[in-house]
Amino acid sequence: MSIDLTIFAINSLVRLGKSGMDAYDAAARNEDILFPNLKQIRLDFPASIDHYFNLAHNRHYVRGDDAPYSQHWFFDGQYSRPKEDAQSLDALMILATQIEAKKGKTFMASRTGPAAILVKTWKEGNQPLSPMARIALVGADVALEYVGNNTGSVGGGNGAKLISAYAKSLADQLPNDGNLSSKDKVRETLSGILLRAGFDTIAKHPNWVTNEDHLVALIKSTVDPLTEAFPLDTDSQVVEFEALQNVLMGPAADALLNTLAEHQSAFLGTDFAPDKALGAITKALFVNAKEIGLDNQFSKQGLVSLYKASLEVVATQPSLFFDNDGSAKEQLISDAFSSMAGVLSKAEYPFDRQTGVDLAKVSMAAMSKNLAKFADNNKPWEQTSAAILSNMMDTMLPIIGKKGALKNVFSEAQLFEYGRIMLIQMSKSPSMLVHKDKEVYSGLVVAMASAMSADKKLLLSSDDWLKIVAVAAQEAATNPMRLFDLDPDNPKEVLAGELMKVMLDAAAEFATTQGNKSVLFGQVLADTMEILLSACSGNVSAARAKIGKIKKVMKKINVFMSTRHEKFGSKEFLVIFRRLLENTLDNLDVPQLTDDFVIGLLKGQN
Amino acid sequence: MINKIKLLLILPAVVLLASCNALKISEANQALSNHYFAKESAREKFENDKTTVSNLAIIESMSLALQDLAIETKQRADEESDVKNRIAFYRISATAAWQSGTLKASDFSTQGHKLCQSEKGIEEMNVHCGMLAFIPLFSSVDQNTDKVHSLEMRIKAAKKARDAEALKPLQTEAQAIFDEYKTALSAGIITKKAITNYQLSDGFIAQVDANLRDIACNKLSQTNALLSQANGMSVPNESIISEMKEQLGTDIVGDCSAAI
Repeated sequence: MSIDLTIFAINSLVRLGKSGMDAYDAAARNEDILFPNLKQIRLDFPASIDHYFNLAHNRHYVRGDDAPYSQHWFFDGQYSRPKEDAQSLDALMILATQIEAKKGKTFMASRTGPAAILVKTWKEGNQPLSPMARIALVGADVALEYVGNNTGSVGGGNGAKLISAYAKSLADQLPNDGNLSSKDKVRETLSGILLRAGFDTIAKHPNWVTNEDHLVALIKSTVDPLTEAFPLDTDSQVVEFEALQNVLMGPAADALLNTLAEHQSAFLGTDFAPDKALGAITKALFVNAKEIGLDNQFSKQGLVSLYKASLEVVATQPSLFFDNDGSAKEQLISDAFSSMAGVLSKAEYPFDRQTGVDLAKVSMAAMSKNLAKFADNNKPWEQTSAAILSNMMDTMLPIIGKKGALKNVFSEAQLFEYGRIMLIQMSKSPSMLVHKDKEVYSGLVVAMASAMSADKKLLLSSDDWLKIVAVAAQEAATNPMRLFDLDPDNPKEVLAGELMKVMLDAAAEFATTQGNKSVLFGQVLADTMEILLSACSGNVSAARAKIGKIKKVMKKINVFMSTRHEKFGSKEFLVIFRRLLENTLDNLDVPQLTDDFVIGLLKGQN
Repeated sequence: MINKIKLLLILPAVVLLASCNALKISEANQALSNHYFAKESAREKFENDKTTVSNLAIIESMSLALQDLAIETKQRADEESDVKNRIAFYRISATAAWQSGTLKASDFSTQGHKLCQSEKGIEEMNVHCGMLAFIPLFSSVDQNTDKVHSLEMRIKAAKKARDAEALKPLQTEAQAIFDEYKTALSAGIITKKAITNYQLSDGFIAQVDANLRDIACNKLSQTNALLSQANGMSVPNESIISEMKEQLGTDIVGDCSAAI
């Protein structure tokens, strides 16, 4: 097939416009058409027996002198039916079951087989379209659509490169006789969708620079793995694939080419093979969609979002996905996508929507940026990344899920921000992670979850919690092995969490004792947590040993402040708390609080 | 389940909105196949496992999608200037209406069928025209089939109660269904003769024959068995077949050895 001639044909058809596309309509009219079978009757017992033994090839069992089951059948030459006694009906039922079983079938089972066939429309002697004509017509159809929706033409620049790449990528794939197999048709359709997405990308990114060879390689490396990965031998397999293709390929092709256009420097002029990497992600998208099923809550939007996120990670962190010789680590790419898709497809509210996908993106990107810290080859980063996300979601669900006390506290944006802070911190501090059996536990996640679950009176707002998690993350980064250290044998308890719970218990007590006069809630409580975490991180062994004393100190402050609201407010409370906490951690006794003692504290004297 | 239904309702939109321009024949063809096979797949699953009600929801949503497709393609056909494209759209519309199970297929096929009979130079449209000729007939056969299951259940209930009076109207109903199939078979053979001047593909003719054979060998025999349950007697199938052969002067059904 002549490529030049094909491209010339496409350009000619585009120039001819509508009249040129009459040929496209003719081709569409000549496609195979659906011809359904009639609906089947599935008779119940005993009518099914009547029908079955009246069939020509079964009569010999029941009719005639030699018929082995004639005693159960009535036949007088005019009428023919089973006898109606239960014994006869049962005997005939068993016989029919045995006859069908010998054929490997089930009697009275619903009829299987194609419900329809696709019939050819062309007459004998009329040949189907040649490959060149097919490529030209589809290419021209897509290009004309672009011309119709955009000013300008496709005669030069990237449009021409796209058409040429589309034609070249298909030219040596389609059989010369024009009799396309299912695989050929899928290849043709997928390439057409990529061509359409290419024109859309040009519209959005007029300065997109690419070269024809690269586009040919991209189309092939995207389409070929898909046609190879899925069996397309039967009608049902083709229909199943088409369902995936119809839902996924358009958005995927858009995302793919837009990522290329947005990250041109990453994909052009490099010595690695981006096409194969992108093809591997596209294949992973389809394979996972098939496994998860398109009717899953997460599937369509979620998978496509995850696909976009994965493309961006490849674009921004290419070194992760390629060996030194520039070849793509296709298995790793596939595993990374599958691990995340697996976690997200099982995610529950509120992570079963865009927030979950956004956090997955953060997790992948953050982990990949800190890869050097995850030196353990036995724990592949791409799986650890998914495991961290999974653990964070699972740990937070009892608190912010449908039955969680804080379910109405966080907006989606705040929840994302909360998760983002934790994921970035965890990715920076692998020493905070403990693998217990198959789960990855993180000290930060456990501490925060433990504290949040103690906030039963909703004393802190989402903004307060965001502030606390930021402080906690900062402390965790500074002293990862101290406040947030996890015991591998008891990975659900962390000192920071225990300390924050003490403070929340105290705040609840303040609220009970002092009612609306209490200062220990909201911003002040968040500030108190900040003071607590900062002070304790500098003296972890004392903090661990003095939890009981810290509780007592809080009780003393509560008693003291409950009768002195007019004298001492939130500002004074924070100073008193800081000073008494430091004293406690320094092993100093805290006496009964009096006005003079507290004033001394405020002046820095005690 | 709601999400599943929503997703499935989105599917046709994805296919149809692939382009912003008017619906194309290739897109409508693809939508027809997708909806039809999705519905059939769910129907088969439901027949094998009636506890999974989500399959019922898919059947329902696909019927709605086919209904929408029938209406949209008919409108597209009405607006189309090219007569060949019009006929192709009417064929898609009539097939979708037939398979939706909720629309009267002849309302969607009549205009296309008239075009096929009146326009010159439409030789290459023969298979589309062949479909338009047969769709109302096959659609009415399917509607007749829809009555069978309910009737069988009522016959069983009346027989269990040994209620001879209740059986009488059911015998009449069974006879009516049987007669409908006989009429449809006659009409099918007449229609087939009427389009002998069309140059039809072998696959099309084979499928027409398969459906007519299904009426003769399966449906007549099965309704005959139902009739037998209703009145206690049934006529041997070979008598029915030979009667049909005699009436129609043709032997399209052979000895029905392929029947189930």
